Amino acid sequence: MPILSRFLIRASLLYFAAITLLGGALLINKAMPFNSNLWRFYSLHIEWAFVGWIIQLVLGVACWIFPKPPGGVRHIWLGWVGFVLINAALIALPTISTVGIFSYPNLKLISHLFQILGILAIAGHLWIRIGFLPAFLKSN
Amino acid sequence: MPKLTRWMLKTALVYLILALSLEGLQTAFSAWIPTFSTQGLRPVYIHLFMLGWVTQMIIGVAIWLFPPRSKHLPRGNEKLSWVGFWGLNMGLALRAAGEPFLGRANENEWFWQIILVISALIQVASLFVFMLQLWVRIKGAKGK
Repeated sequence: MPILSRFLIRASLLYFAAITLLGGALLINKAMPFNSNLWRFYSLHIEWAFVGWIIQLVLGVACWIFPKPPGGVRHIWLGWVGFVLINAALIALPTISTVGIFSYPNLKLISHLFQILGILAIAGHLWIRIGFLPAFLKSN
Repeated sequence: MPKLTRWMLKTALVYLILALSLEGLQTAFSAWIPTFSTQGLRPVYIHLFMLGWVTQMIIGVAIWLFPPRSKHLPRGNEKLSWVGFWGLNMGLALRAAGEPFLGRANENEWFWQIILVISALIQVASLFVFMLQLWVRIKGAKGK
């Protein structure tokens, strides 16, 4: 398993652990309310589940099992850029919002922009491995 | 394909059918009976889909395909994984049974509250079992 896949899959498992704990706390809070502030993390629970856990795991497995060109995997940096952007965006959501540097809607917008750019970068890396290569990348 | 994976994939398919049927029935009842309350059904549908179908399918395939943990224990502690499988599915079933009854001001409210707390604790414990079992199997060709 290549190192990029290991990072993506381990990160996805960490989000999985986080959403499991958060989800458990939300369900208990729903049954026996103990802290109404916990519901502020509801959208984070959803975002980390979809992007942090599922999408990141799928991309990590794809980086592992997709075909490798005869000359070795090229443009691996695209995958790393994607990994950093996605995780910076997901981690920034709860941390910066609690500090209060940006308002939450602005922060969400920036976070989604980073997530899209990150997924585009990893998709670019995988696209090359699937076989279709735009002409401007063939010379590299 | 290991036995646990087969059980997980088949159970995941059952949850997919259950989740989509629940969503269909919910839509139909809401249209036919204006007084019908869908309270509590929407989160049940979402979790049957995301946990029962998507997550269980992912974990089942990962148990099958991830690099072996060691020569002697290729899939880690399989007994523990079976405990995780039953725990996840019992927890999810308890949630599906209890959540629609919550907040309906009936005299058995306390009973459903306890059921949901038990369901949450069982699910969290089971999912952590799977997370730890898979974590140790993420490694490169040299076993690092």
